Amino acid sequence: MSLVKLANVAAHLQNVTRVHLSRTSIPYTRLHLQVASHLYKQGFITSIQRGSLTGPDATPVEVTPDNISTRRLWLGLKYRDSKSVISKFQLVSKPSCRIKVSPEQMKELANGKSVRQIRPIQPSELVLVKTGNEILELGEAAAQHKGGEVLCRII
Amino acid sequence: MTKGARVFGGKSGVLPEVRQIFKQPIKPVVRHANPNVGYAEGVEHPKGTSREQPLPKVRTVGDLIKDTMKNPKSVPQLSTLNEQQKEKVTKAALRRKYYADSLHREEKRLEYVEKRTIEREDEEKRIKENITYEESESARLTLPTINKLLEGPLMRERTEEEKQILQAKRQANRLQNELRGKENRATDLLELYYAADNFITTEADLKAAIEDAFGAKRISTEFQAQRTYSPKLLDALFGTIGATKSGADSSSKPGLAQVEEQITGDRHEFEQRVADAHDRAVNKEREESLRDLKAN
Repeated sequence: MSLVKLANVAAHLQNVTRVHLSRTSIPYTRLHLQVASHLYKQGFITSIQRGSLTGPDATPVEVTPDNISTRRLWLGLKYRDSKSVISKFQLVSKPSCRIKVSPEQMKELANGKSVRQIRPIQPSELVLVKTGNEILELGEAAAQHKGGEVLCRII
Repeated sequence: MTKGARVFGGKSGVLPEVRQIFKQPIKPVVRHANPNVGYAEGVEHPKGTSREQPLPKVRTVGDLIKDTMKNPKSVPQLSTLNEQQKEKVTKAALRRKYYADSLHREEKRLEYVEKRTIEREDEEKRIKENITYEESESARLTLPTINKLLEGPLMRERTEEEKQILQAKRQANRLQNELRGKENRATDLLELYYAADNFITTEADLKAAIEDAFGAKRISTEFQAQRTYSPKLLDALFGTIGATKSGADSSSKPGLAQVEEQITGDRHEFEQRVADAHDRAVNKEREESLRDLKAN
């Protein structure tokens, strides 16, 4: 898992929403698929489609070592009153300073408290954390009594 | 050096740290082995020290009471004592009693704290084990494809057959490149062989070359330009060598393809077929003319 690539996606999504694109593509990796899935669940994007560099697939295409370099995830972006639903997408843990929290701290964070240098979460804010190999939403991680690395926050 | 409340940053009412009643453990300490602590195998420890860290000396509550509080060797009869002596003896007995009681109470308290800690840890462990987080119904119904994608590998690996095909393709490419290189080298060698005809190796050749370049027989540049066009075309069409390089005087030499045709006999066969076709065409024309004559 690369925080640099996640940071690239975060910056890309902020950029494309500022110029009001209807859809965009991000690299096809497990991390990005998990993040996109959470964005979709929380209503930050309208759709997730698999596709190539040219656009979403009309028919399902099998991913093989021959075409993996051209595979992309196409995300449908959401706007309300001509304003993007995603206004900010930023990393919390950075490659130079990774922030890992315990299950208790996770609970405190989910309850709206400030933990270490992480500012309290705001209403309708999505915070993604990495516990083991899976990416969870902050509330889920706190409910499952799990600690982990706080990846990013989206508002 | 600050004093008083200033020690605590100007805050009053800060209580000192609670003193430990028992300075030493009151029951044997259990220390779990830690592989990252201590001397490694093969590393010697300093003389006069122990290899393993010694456990602290245990001093039970009974020992503590026995060592601190000594009972009087002889207890006097209270009835024989005056008021002051009675009070002194009674108070001393009370002090002993309270001291022993307080130690026993502290021991009980510590036991209770330890018991609660273990219970709490067990409870947390049990909660952690029993947690079964269920995904919401909407997520379960609307995200089956993504969840299914995340379950397995994102990319299908090549099968054994595909790997073999790819390997064969790569090998074919490599061989083709090698062959092309060898052909180029052979052509270059042939070019060099033909070019060697014009090399100046003797004094007579040198004189002739100087005469050609600067003498009266020097060919005009216009004529050279007129002549070089045709050999260039020859080189391009039939793969001949040398015509473009050697100038107007020399004729072009057979190329690698023509040499190969000659060696394999393809050229001879081709010429034979051309001759046969020519004969057939001539015969046919003759028959037609005879037929016309007969008809007339």
